[in-house]
Amino acid sequence: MNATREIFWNINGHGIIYFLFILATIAFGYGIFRRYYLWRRGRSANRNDQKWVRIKLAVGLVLGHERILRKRQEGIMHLLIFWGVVTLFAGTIMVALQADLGLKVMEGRFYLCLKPTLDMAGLATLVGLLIAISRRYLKRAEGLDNQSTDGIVLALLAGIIVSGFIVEGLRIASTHDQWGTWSPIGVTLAGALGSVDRENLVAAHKILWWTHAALALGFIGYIPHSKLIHIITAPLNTYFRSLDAKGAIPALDLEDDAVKSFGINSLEDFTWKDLFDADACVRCGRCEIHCPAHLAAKPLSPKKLIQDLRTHMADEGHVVGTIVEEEAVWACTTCGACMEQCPVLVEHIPKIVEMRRGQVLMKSNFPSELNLIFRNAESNGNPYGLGQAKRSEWANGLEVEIVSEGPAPEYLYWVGCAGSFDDRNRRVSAAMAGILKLAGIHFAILGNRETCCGDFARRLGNEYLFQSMVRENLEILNGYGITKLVTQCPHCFNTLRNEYPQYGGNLEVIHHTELIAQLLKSGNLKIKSKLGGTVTYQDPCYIGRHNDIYEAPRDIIEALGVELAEMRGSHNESFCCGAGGGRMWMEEHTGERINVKRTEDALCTNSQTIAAACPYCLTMLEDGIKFKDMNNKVRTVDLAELVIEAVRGKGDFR
Amino acid sequence: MNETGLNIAVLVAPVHDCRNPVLIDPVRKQVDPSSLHWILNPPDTIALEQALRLRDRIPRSGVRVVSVAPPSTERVLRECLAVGADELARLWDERIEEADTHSIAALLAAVIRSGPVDLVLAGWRSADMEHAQTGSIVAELLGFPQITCARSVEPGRDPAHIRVEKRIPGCLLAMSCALPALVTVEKGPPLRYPRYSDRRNAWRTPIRGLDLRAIGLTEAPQSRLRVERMTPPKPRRRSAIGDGANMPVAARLQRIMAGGAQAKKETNVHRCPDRSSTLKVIEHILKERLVVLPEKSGNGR
Amino acid sequence: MREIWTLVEVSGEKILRASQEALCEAVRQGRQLRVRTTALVLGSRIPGQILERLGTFGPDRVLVVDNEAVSSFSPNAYTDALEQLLAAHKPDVLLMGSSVLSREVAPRLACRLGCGLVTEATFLNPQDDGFLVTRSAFRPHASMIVSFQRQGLQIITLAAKVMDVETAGPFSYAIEYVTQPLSFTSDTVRVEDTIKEISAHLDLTDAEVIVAGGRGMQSKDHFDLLDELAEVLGGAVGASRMAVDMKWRPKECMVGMTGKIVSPGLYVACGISGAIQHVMGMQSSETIVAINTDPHAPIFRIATLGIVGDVRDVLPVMIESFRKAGAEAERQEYSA
Ligand SMILES: Cc1cc2nc3c(=O)[nH]c(=O)nc-3n(C[C@H](O)[C@H](O)[C@H](O)COP(=O)(O)OP(=O)(O)OC[C@H]3O[C@@H](n4cnc5c(N)ncnc54)[C@H](O)[C@@H]3O)c2cc1C
Ligand code: SF4
Ligand code: SF4
Repeated sequence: MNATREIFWNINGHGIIYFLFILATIAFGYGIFRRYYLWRRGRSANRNDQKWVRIKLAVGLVLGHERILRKRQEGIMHLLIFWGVVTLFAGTIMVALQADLGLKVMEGRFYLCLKPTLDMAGLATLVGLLIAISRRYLKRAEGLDNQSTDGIVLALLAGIIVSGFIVEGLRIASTHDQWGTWSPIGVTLAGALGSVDRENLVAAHKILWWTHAALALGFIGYIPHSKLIHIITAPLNTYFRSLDAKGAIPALDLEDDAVKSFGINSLEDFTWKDLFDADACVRCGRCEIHCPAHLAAKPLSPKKLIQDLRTHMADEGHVVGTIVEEEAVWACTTCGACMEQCPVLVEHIPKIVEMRRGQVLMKSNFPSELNLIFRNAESNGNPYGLGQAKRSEWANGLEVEIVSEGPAPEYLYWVGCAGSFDDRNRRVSAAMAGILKLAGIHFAILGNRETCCGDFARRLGNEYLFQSMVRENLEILNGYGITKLVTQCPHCFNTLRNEYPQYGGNLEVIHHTELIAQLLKSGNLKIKSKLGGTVTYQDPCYIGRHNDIYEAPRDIIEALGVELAEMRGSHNESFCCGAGGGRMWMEEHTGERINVKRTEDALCTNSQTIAAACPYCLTMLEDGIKFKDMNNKVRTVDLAELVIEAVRGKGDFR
Repeated sequence: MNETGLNIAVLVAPVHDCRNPVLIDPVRKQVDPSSLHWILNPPDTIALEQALRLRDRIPRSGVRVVSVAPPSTERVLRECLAVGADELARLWDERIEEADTHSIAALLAAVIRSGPVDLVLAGWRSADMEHAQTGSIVAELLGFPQITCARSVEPGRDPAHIRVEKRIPGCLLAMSCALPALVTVEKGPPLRYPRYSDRRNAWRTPIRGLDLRAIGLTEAPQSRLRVERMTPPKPRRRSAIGDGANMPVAARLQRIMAGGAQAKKETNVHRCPDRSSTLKVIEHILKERLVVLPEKSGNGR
Repeated sequence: MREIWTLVEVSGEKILRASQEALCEAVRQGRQLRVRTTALVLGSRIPGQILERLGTFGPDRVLVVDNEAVSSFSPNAYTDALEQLLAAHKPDVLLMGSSVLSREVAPRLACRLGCGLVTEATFLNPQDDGFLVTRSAFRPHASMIVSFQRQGLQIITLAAKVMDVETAGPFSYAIEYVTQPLSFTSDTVRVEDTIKEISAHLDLTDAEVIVAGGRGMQSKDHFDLLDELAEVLGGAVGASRMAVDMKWRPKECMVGMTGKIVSPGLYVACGISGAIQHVMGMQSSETIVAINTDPHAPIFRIATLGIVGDVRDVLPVMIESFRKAGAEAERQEYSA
């Protein structure tokens, strides 16, 4: 006899199920359409090019849970629920195929395999749900806010699974199904129900069957009205992801006369993808628990920002000041922790920068300190406001070549504003010049013709200032035919490498840590004396998260013979020093100092040295060390400074 | 002026940004113009901000920026339009290249006279030359009453007056003056930063270019002063600061080239390990008048 | 050249420091060139001892205008009076110290009298018919030398703190009162209200002297030293961001990029390293005195005068000696 079961055993009037199904579909369709209508409010954006690349990337993220699994426990939780529900859904489809299309799928060997598979899927889902419930209600994990809808979703799922099992158990118990043993959980439950008389079993089965069906259809109807919408939006969001360089802020066309509004002022100024993002967000809070601004008690939470967008997606009028707090817009360091963590690839930074653009370009409304900084940059090409003619002063007496019409140097050494003007960072520039010379590299600097790369202006939303700097710099770089640059500033690095191409730049940019690591490896740079001691290293956001350079600096540290003590939160989980996104130029009025928090992390490693690879990190950590009154015990250096010590052989390193 | 609001003229000059050095042509003994780094005169920008605020407060007012400046500075001047000035008139003529402060003031007065004006605002001095004369002379030439070095300019008790705050050592004066008048501004909130849309419009707004003929002159007003030559900076004090000989402490005279805003400044770094050496240094400070002790009461007018 | 005049401003019992400097320079030049020097003083009921004290600077004569119209701050009346006096007496040169009043009066006079004016002069080089004047330009990058193009009166205002003040006597001088009737034009400029400033509450951006402390002050208590020094110097107290972070000083005192941008005549930086964010707020100070234990502190790069020492040692000595010097100056003022 062929293995199978009667689909609608014990169920009369199962036609009602189709009616319920239609109701669920309407609820589902209406919900999706309502959101779709809201997404459509946004501006256009092309997120459908390179289809195969998109599909390939999405498959890994969705089916493989690449991102989600970064957090072990919740990753497993989601993986179990995801695959459980997907399998059960597939099982239900099988049933539908058989019942409605008459296909004989639920028969024979296949049926026998399906049974334990579905049982296991149900079990997996249940385990996942238990983890979820414990995280949410027992452990009260960070980043989660418990809303009633979260409870409803969990209850629905749990109800579906549990009722499904019981229904099966009841059926097996009442029909003495000969293939019941293929459903291990069903048969176990049936065994437990063995003493109940059949009449009751049959009656209970009927009730629970309908309950199960109603819950399942309710679940479908509930999808677009809750965070369950991510079942639809999250996979699509990974497909619609940005394929641009991670560190690049989207370009803005300022020349177009037809455009009257720049940046984000009202909701319509967001792209549809920005709005779509808000519906993909699952409120997991991963972004929030890594956000330096949030953790330092500033009025910014990336999660809240996205959720507020979602809640107010139908609103009219201004975004900044109503939907999003003004201070929140300026609190972001563009560290990228949120985007790095977000399992559904929500893009926070572009939204924040676009809002800043709206404030700066259309309203001229920004923290008052910035007026001076913008004007400094306009008049002297650097935010410090020191004379442009003093840019190359740091190199006086160091015999550094200034680029000329002659043979192009192998590398143009892009010093950057901090390296040129800030006393502390000038020492790093001197170290860099020394290293390049000792390695026998033919390099030159632009001298006084270098202008700020524009990183801070762009991230502060002053796109006009940014683009005028880009134009100026590209003109000069192209004039000298320069293509290869090395820089010690991750911000210059990222901007020159990832953003200048938007304006026709075609530059090969390398960060000094990469170059030094190469030189050490190739033997062009030889270490005279190993340094010893322990050092902790701060991963700068703009070479780390935004450009995935994690190993080069660590290779250098290893080559120096220093022991590396990693801080809490390193590599892609590094905690921002607090200076990115133009925060270097603003006062911190609310909450704690971000740099002090990070300094505390560094001090926890008990290293004698804190190494940075970014002028801003250096300033911030050094300030933090001073604030903690530890500057006599711990020193803060740029990696280049350690390298020059080791290479010159002045091993006065603690 | 009642029905039409205030007609405000603001005198704005492009000046060299002294955060950057100037090159002095050793032969001609003049400044090499290619080394000039133009910006809007900072005190003028503060005056402009005051003008814009007045315009925002008094309906139907207008702000006209008047400048005597070479064409090469137009890029810098355009900022005035970007922040919201209604009109920008720039006067230049080859014949005024050697003009002194008085002649420039005379030209400015002539341009201002060519239109209706109730209030003239200007920075109290130019940041590069520091003459601090132009505003006062313009007022004299126009026959306007004047208040110099104001902190704020506000509408007065009636439309025919303005209210001005000014600080003199030891006290703050609240002053008033009948219009038309001229006020030079010393301090105040910084010039607003333009919106991009306004900046874009400013590129398209024509700058009214004037020459001598346009203001009815055939030649430049005669200069009363002449710059004989420019030289590298001379110490402001006649006696050079700290000749090590009479410094019993180890006095190092350092010529610091790099760092900070001020190039080539003589710096004395004294090591003061004990009280007597500290005393010596302080004596030196007093002698060299690095510190001038304040007169106890009402030290000035 | 026959005669050099100096406008002397008095305020209550005091002769403005800038006027003293101008007068002394006039006397020095006058002696050398053998021309008559006149100290011109305007006011009403000027105390006799002031006139006598003026004499000790060595002018040949002290010319006094005693008139109600010029008894208070009134640039307009001053301009009127001077215009008439200068037209009548025709001196060759009028020197003035740099002051709030002279800054307005000098250009107005020059305009009315059709003569040249050089402001903020730092050096006077005598010629046959007047002076060749040196002044700074594009400060601090250049100096300029200016000549007068017209015959007749030359008006020159002198930059502050440049000329020496000497009162070595005895000198013979005459005190003359102006008898010439003076007429005054009416003016609509009115002082409606005068608010006295309390130097302790002085806004940092208005202070001529700022004494600022940083983390090197070591503790909140040591800021008392700064308060004391500020009082002696008649200045205000500033702080670096570190000092503010340590809660040693309120936020309003913070100097720097995200604090106040100041440019006083004198900035005393005590235990401040000179981080660029701080320097951005005070680099345009005229004179910077730095006290720091670290001889390599970046603040010394921009300081006019640096003292390598512990603030706890240096400041008390400073306070004491400046206080003494102040008292000394006071004594001299009255003993003369
Ligand atoms: C976004 C941002 C904005 C900032 N804005 C400002 C700003 O507006 N203003 C500002 O000031 N800073 C600002 N900073 C901070 C700045 O980077 C420095 O941290 C700060 O200026 C240092 O203050 P400090 O000189 O008092 O302390 P430190 O740098 O620690 O210097 C202390 C100095 O005191 C000396 N010293 C120690 N003991 C003694 C003693 N007994 N006697 C004499 N000297 C002694 C030491 O040698 C040292 O040079 C900002 C920083 C950031 C990141
Ligand atoms: S970029 Fe960094 S600071 Fe900004 S919202 Fe994201 S995590 Fe927070
Ligand atoms: S934005 Fe992303 S990381 Fe943040 S809560 Fe939403 S889904 Fe989670």
